[in-house]
Amino acid sequence: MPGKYGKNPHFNPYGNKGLSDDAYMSERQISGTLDNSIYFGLTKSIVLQTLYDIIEECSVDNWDGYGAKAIDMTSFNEARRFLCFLPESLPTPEIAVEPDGEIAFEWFHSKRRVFSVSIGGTGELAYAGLFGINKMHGTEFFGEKFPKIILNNIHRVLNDD
Amino acid sequence: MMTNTEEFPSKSIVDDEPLGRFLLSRSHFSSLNNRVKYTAFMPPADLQLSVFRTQNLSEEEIWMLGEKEVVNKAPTPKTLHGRAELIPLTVKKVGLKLYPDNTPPRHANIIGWPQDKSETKQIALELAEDATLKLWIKDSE
Repeated sequence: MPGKYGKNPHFNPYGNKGLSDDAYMSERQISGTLDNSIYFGLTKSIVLQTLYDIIEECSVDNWDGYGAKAIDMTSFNEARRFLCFLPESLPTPEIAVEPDGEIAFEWFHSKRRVFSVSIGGTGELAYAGLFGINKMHGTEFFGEKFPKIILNNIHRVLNDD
Repeated sequence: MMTNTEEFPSKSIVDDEPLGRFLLSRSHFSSLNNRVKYTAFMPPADLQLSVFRTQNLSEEEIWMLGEKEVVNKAPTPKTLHGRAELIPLTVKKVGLKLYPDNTPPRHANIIGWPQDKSETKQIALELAEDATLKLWIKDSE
């Protein structure tokens, strides 16, 4: 039976298991207020709404028809944290969900100019990019500061150099 | 005219024969940019990426194949949005292999993925770059 936050009745993106539905709704409204605040910025609010929409689709196992895992809750929370750190000056990333349940942000500029970051629940970021004839991939820990290498590669893909 | 899909499966792969990866998730493509996203080509946990060999099939037959072998086999109701089309040569270029197991008929797996996730992402990005997006618009819509 579908749940309030998607098709999976046990999926709660806020991780507060054991609370009533009214409590969940209160938390979502409060969180939604913070997420939509001037501090958060209009661009990020749009991205966050897209994230919620995608969660609706990917909250159950096999959401892609090929055995994908449902969205990982800790990955969702880390994705929100990642979004908070993103400079407002950057273009809106596209959001995708990977078969392991992790959420990814993608910046697409043009053919063979694309960069993506996957947000794991353990704080590890897996990234990869195509920059014309060049390509790269790697991992970086997402601690208290936004990884410079991620920011550098976002700028790299957006600039025609 | 219907083609007998059961008679096709040949073990020999032709470099430019069409392969189709059916798309059931909106996060696997961008209709705005008319492109396939790399997530359509990220393999599942068993590292076998499912595709279908669609040579000699009409468009209608290809969509029926997707409905029959992917959509109807999903445990919950799904919508077939479209397919990502690529060729075996692209699979070879990125260092992967195509294994036609013909189970079900015309089915193949793209195998040889690395264990490292970021490297897998990079390969999936390259596959997506060379893939063509074909959206399915049902006659009833």
